[in-house]
Amino acid sequence: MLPLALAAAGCVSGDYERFDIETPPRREVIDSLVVGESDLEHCLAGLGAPLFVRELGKGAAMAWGARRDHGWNISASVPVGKGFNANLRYTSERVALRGIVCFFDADWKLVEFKEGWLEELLPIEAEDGPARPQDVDLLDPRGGA
Amino acid sequence: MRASLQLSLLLVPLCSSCLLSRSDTNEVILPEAVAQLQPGVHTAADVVGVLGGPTEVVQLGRRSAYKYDRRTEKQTGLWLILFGLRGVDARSDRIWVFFDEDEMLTHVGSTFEAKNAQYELPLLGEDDE
Repeated sequence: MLPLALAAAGCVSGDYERFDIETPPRREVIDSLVVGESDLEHCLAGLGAPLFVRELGKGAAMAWGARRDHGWNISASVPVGKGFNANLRYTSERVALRGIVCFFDADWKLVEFKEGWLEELLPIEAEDGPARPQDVDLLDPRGGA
Repeated sequence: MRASLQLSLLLVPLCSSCLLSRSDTNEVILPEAVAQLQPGVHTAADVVGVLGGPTEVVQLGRRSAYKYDRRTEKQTGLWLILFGLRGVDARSDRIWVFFDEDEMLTHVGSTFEAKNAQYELPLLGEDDE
């Protein structure tokens, strides 16, 4: 009865959440990319419209990705004194997009591509530039990718 | 003990709640409108005339790219006394058009996935791939 009482009083709560944000790039298309041969047209035809486009030197970097994860959020609130509560929160989720970043030269030829977390792969923008993956609130449609 | 258990069971429906929500951001992008756009034929002004104002403009040296997107997000949730379940599915219709330094259209990339967003409650232990 104690867990029930705590939960009913709002002291402990747990949420299991699943996020499907955007559609992951297709593996067969990624496997078909050839540095120095593939070009922007090939990438757009196979991967669709990118999530992000960034200027990079005389060329550009473009990212395709998705967020697929699930996990627990556990919150606890414990009274520690008169009028004071200690709040604890645990989350097992990683709020990030995973996918591929392609780098193109001035002639739109693919010069490099990397797979992983987009926030780690995309070049950093100036502060007044477009939103970066790590700045985008994936649950806020106004800031969504 | 039995009375408290019965009381707890009576409280269950009172303490539970559920959620179904949908949000759409930006205007619908029509695939047939995008199909009209021909690289080497249409200019930035033509594209804006067909699709309207872009949601993002990126300067790429002397070239540029415009982004158009429409996002659909569906959330499903169920909260019981001890824990809750929540699923979020968000997809986009998204267009990127690229222009050369003379503002002539050179490339079009399109993705139409917004219609695939679903209401789905997560199942415990479900694989994320």
